[in-house]
Amino acid sequence: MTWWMLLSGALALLLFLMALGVPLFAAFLVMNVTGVLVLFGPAGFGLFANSIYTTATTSVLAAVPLFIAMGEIMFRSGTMEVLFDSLDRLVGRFRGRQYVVCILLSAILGALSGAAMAVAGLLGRSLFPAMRARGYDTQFSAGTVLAGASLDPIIPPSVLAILVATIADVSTGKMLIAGIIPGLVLTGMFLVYVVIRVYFEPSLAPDIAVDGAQEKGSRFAAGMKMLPSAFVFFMVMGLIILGIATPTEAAATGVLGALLLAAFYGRLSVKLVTEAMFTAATVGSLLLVIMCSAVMFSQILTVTGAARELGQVVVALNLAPALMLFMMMAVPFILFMFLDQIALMLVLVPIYQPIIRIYSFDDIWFWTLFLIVATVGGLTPPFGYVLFALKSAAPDVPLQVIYRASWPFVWIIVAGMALFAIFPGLITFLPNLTSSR
Amino acid sequence: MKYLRALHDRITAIGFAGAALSVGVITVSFWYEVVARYFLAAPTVWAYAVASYALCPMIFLAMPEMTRRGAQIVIDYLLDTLPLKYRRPIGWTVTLATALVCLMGAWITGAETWRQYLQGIETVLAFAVPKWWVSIFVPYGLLSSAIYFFRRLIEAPPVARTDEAVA
Repeated sequence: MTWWMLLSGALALLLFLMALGVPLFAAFLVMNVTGVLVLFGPAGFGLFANSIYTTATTSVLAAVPLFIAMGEIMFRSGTMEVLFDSLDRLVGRFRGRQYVVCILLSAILGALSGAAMAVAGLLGRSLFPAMRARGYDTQFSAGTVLAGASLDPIIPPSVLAILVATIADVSTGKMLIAGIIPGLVLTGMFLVYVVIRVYFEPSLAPDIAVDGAQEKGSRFAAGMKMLPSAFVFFMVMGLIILGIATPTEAAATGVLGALLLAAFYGRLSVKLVTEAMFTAATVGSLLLVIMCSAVMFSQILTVTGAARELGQVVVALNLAPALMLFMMMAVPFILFMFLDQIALMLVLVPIYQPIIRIYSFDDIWFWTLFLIVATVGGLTPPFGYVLFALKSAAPDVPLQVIYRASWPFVWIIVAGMALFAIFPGLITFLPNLTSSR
Repeated sequence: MKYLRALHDRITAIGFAGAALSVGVITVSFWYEVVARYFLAAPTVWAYAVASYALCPMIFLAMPEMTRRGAQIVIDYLLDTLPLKYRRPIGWTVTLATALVCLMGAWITGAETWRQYLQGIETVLAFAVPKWWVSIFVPYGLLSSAIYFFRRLIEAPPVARTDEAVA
């Protein structure tokens, strides 16, 4: 059996099982057990069992439940209310100000948690109804919530970045740090777009007089109130950048920072800690069980020689690097509209690895672009997770409205990606400054 | 049967609590490592190993609870577009297939754990422990999940009952 028959057969089997509604972990188990049986017979089962064991004891992956626990403690500690009040005061009074507050709040929440769905759900239940009640345009408000939430997997700490780094076998610390500048640039692009849209289409936002904004306290005091949250960010990214902690250790110190913050706001309790641990175990298990089931796929690709042969085909195509990069981003951009982010990452990363080496693409640069594409996948109709998270938080808003709301921001992110592709330094500058592992 | 189901649920609940506890163990291990390395200048040999070992039970002790809740990640939008009369038997078949896959996975990983136990194999990290202490959670998670999938098959037959069809 030739390598391409094996590869296409495996992918067809996987897609067929997923389309039938087989749980993702089970679909990967079927594909890998079949692959092991075809290639090695029952003698290969030990390899398969060890592949699951090795993934389930990879210490870097411990950062996944820890970042989830950290975000959970932050959300339950009342931090969001403090941040919202402070931003509301700092942003000032101008038409469309709530759109700006929404995007800035999302960006800051992105620096304190790592899951877009959580932030979309949170803002969908809190800020989104408040914006609609004040007379802000429903569709555009939904768009800013979605756009803001999409920043979270890019701005560190990011669960998705940890997973990409682990699967692609690149430095987790550098991968996390690489998301800082793109996250800030995209935040800036969203803000510019929002301000311009409201300027040319004032009906999108209510008049300042009916906006309901109140001048409570001084701006200095509002800024000071945000400092405790900055402390948590420092406990994660600061320690990584300074080389004091590895990403996994930083995730644990982030949990400590979040606990201290909860104590600072008087919300620390056994119940809060217990619920955070259970949530971390829940989400961590759901994500990592898929990884454990799927990692064998990359080993099968290597053993069959499919990865090497695919590399030779790519060399024979002799495409320009820019065109190859475009194709390597366009394929997941389309597939992420229909498939689960983690599942597709687990399939594409081992296929892409030899191509990246052939074209000498910078690892961190390429996988950060890939991470951004995966993030867009949560935002693109018809099956983006973030869209459904907002829909479940705001059930009275038709899904069509949410679909239409997301597209302008999807294209802004695509424009941002073009910028990062043309100027790789925007991604690689900060990681190159650090010695992070 | 009712007693067995309750017992299974009870074991799952205890396991889930163990998964949450594992998150705590991972967290505290890394805190200790950071303090020991940067404040006491005495890095441990066990912190990373313990965190690595605790990750496995976190994943696989929580797995049966996720299966019980029907929370495993599924792409079900194609199935949802089908009429109920097709959806139900397909869903039943998929659940049966998933149960069998989990059972097979449990058998494969269980056999490997048994081999590790018989041969006295230890983990390769500096803080070594018998490997089966850690790996045993994998067949447990898969086996218990398989049982939940089988239970679901019994509780939701492939064809709608007469009273449901009338409703």
